[in-house]
Amino acid sequence: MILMYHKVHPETPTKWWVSVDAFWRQMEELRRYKIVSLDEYNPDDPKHACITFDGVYENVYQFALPILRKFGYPFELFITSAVIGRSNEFDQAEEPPARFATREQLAKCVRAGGRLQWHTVTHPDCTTLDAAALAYELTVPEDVRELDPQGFGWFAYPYGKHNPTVVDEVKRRFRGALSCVGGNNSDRYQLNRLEVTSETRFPSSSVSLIIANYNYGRFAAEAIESALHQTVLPEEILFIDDCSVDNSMEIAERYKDRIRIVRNERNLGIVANFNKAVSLTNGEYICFLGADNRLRSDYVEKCKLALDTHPEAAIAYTDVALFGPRAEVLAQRVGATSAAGTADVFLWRFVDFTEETRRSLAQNNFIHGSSMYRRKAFEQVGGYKDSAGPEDHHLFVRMVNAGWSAVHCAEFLLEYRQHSGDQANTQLNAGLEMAYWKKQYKQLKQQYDQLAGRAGLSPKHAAEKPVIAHLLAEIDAVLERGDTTAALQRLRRSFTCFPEQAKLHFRYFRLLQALGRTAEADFAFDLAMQYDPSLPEIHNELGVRAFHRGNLKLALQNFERAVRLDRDFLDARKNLADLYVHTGRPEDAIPHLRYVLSRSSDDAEALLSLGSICVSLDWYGDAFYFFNRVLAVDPSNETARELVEALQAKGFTPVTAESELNELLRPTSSDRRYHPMLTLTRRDAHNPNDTGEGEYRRKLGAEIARYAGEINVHDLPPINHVVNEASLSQWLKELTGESDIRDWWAKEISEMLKSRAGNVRVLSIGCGNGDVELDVLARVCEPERVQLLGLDLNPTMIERANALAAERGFPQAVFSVQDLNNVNLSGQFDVVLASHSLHHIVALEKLFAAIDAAASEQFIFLVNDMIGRNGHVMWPATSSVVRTIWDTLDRKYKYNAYWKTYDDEPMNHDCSSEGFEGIRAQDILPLLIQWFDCEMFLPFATIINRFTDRGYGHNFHPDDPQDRDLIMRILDLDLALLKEKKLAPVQCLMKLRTKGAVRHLRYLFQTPEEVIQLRSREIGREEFVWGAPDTRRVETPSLVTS
Amino acid sequence: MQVVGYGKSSYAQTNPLSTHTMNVLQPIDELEQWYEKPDPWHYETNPDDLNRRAMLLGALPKREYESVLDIGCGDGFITKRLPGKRVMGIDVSSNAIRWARQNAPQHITYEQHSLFDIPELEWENAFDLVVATGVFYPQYLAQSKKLVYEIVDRVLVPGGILVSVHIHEWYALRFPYVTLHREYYSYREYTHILEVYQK
Repeated sequence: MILMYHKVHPETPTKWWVSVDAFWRQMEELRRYKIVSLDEYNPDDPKHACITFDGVYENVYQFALPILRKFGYPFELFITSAVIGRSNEFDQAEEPPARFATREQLAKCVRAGGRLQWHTVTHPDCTTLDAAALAYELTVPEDVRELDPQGFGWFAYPYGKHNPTVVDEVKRRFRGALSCVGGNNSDRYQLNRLEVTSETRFPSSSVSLIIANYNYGRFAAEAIESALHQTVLPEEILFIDDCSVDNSMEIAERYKDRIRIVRNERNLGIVANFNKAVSLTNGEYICFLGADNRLRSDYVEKCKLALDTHPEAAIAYTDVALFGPRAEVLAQRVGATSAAGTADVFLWRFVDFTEETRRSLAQNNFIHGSSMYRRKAFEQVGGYKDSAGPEDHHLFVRMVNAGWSAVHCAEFLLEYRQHSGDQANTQLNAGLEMAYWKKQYKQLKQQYDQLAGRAGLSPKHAAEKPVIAHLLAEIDAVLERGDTTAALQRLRRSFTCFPEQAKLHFRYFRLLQALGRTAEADFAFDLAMQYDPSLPEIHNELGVRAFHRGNLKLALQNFERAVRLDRDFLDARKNLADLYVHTGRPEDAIPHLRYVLSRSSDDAEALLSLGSICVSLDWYGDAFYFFNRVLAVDPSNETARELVEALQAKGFTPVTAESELNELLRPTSSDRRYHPMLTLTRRDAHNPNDTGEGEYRRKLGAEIARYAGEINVHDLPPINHVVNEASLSQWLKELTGESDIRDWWAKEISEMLKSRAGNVRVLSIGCGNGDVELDVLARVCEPERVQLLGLDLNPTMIERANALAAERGFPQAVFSVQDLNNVNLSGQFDVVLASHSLHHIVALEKLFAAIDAAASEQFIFLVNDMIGRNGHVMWPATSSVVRTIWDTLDRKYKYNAYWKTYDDEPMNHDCSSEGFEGIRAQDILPLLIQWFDCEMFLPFATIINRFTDRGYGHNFHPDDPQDRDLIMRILDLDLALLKEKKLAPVQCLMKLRTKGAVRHLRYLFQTPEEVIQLRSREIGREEFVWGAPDTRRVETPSLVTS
Repeated sequence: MQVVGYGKSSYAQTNPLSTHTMNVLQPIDELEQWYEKPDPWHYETNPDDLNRRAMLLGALPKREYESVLDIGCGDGFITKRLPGKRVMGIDVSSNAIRWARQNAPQHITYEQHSLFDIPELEWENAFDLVVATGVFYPQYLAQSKKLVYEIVDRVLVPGGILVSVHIHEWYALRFPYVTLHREYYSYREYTHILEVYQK
């Protein structure tokens, strides 16, 4: 193969111009050939290749020469002597101007490995010349020959044209000659050449680069960019995601036009995932890149070349540059040296592949998992397999054992990240994120400006936060259509782009609130508050909340702040004015109301308030004026009508014109009308449960009604058994030796029976049917010595419990009806049991005090209860984890058996809004350890309950392997989050004693204090100046005990 | 020797950072025109540019640099603050070099060269620090990215440092060296990528 080039340049105006990048790529591809001079060229050897240039142009000197020198290739320059150092005027009609190389440049080419050859004096069509002219054209002048004394053995026909006469003449003067296409591949004097263009490719091995990702969304962009910036691009890049639960897919999708993306529907684990990935690709060579690592830009180039040139090797491995916050830790362990004397990057060199190191490979791995290897060898040894050590090491050892060798690319081609779980290492990625969003932002802004321009709006309208304003406007538009679902979706989607935009969270909060989804609304509000505590709307909201709690001072501060932050926030002004009136400062309210009217002259609320103020100040005529105006705006306003009638009845006459109004009331610029954009009403919906006696009765009724009909209150979806077996049973066994709660309780009671004579008195709080208690009794060693008292609110259930006791032959078990919020205990108890009952109780303090007072000397208190957030609402962090999982679930897992709906979002309903379910769940743990000492503590369930509860639990069938597998994976994550103290548990088993009776605590995963601390950190509200931790419920006992 | 640009399109005169076509070089005349006045892009007074200079200088590994090359130095906004016993600034615009030479201290030399002249200059292993800010863009390189790797490699001593600062959106290079540092930060309405490599 003889290649023919003309011009090499950064630009490619015509096909005769090969781009510098293409030339470089072609030279790289030619590494698979033997590049020879024409004298050495053997046309029959398919591996032989010659590089020739015709002309020769200056750009060859300037752009091709440095590359040829880098590759060390010989090359042939066919020169036309008349144009040396001149420009190409002769073919200006077709070609852009280009200068020919000067003598000096040609001489430099020769010094760099080029050989000068002959291409006539003037570049004529030789077949048209007479003998003399032909002889002239074929003769190399002496001054040209001296540029390369060893050159000019070969000739190239101008335009490739030749005939027998010309060939004969050429034979007399040259060792060989080149045509273009008019010759053939065997005649040394008419050899054909391949005319190379930018598009020409030479066959070369193909590479499949696989980026394997699992929850490395925060690093994935760096990995992908490193793959896309390779000097030699792989033939394919596959991003395979093993069912991540983070933002990985979102990141990957940004590159979807350049890489292939595959997501496993289920987490396959390394072996299955890697084998699947290989099966999805076609390249002869394969390499894996962990999505947290990066490739140096010449990784593919160097490794591919190594395998190309070492057919006996199955693997090309490299040295490694360690980076990331923990690079130094690994560097010290493996003896890597720091680069450039910094502590940022460390260089880790590996040994060459020799007979000696080959033998030690199984023991001392020196071939990292991101090495490039041959598909052939991979298939030969059966791919990745389960193994005790790393799967890639296992694979490579098997390849080597199968007789393959490996080749060491002694450069730091893999950049290997050493990271911990902390935030520091995401900084770089944050930068990339920023770059991405800036680009998106620009596009969006452009679109927006165009839209605004078309609509005749000034682009300034989009001034400060155009994207957010744009989004909110869109959402308003959707809302106006009445499509709340779409609005919710739009908002949720916007959170992935702008996770920290308080305005968006606040709007989400309003919307949820309007929909009555209070628990979720609270969460959204918490987020809005976290991300921008200085959002005026937030202060208004906090003001309203404080007002309802009776904290007027705090309310005042917040309303004032809201108005200061946004002077045109009319709702906040009205709230502030109302508060002034409420606190006996009507004069202070007037300017605010006047301001409201100056912006919105028909604001009925403001008019009504002003009227009322006037009444309180005895300015009846003025009051008349305002009430009349209210009626003018809103004729159906009953309050105003009543007041007007009352004033009339008392004989007052209205002022009729503004000019007659009291000085203080007179508007300043009432002409400035202003209609605020859609705001989702003035906020007062957060009426905190109206804790009057009536409410308590209503709840009590609901509670009794709910349980009256239920025969088996413990009936949870069957998947819970699977979960319990895999988790709680085992942990309980570890702590108590028993894997069943009832056995454990029976054991505790039996031990007490054994330790002393006489009866043991057992009290069960919230016994329901009594079936748990009777089961325990049946397992105790001497049940006849146990006196059991069971208490429950529900008469139907108590009746049933007593019947059951009789039926089972336990006359010593007595069950009686009591409101546990007002419990009355007589005598002492040795054992108190509480199984899923405390979370129905409001007067916990009172109950615990009663229990404590009734405790015998040996007293133990055994608890199995829910200790999550009030109303079993998820904590914010829990909720975000659950939502993330939720988004990955199939629709069939989202069926809500309560509401008979498929839920886009996991249910996060406040159960306490109807009855007493979870009414003070979050207070149980702190109060328990305040009243008692904890001897054993087993916390469990962070996220799993949301999937196994009565709402969704039925979607998971214990017999379906996929369902089981899914729930087990969620359980794994649940446990990890629990162990790592990332999330607070919502359930626990406890064994408590009276204060001072416990020497040390036995526990798993988290101590009670850690749980409490974790929760307070998670919700982050305890530290908040304005905020109140969920105090609304803590305040309620007073009402119950009174 | 100059690189001749064949691009038909002329660059927007008002905004040097305006959009560009991938495969076309900016004609040298336009650059010369820009540099008829000093500091045409207001680097000296723009806080973002002062910031990028500070970022660059702060990211340099602390060591004694013998010989430093600033590729595409313009009128020396960065060059004059670089460390090193000898500093060389090159730019394709002769007008820029003229401004740069005014009040240049003894140890800093400015010469008019294109990036592509470097192979001719016999600067093999001549520098232990190479700096390039805002030059490796398509309007200056067109389709010759890979030659840039080769050119830089030629002049940088083994173990030497390369610092590259560019607008991320326009910059498509990754040098085949050990990355000591890579950082993204805001620059005007763009994002800058700052890279420190060791050969």
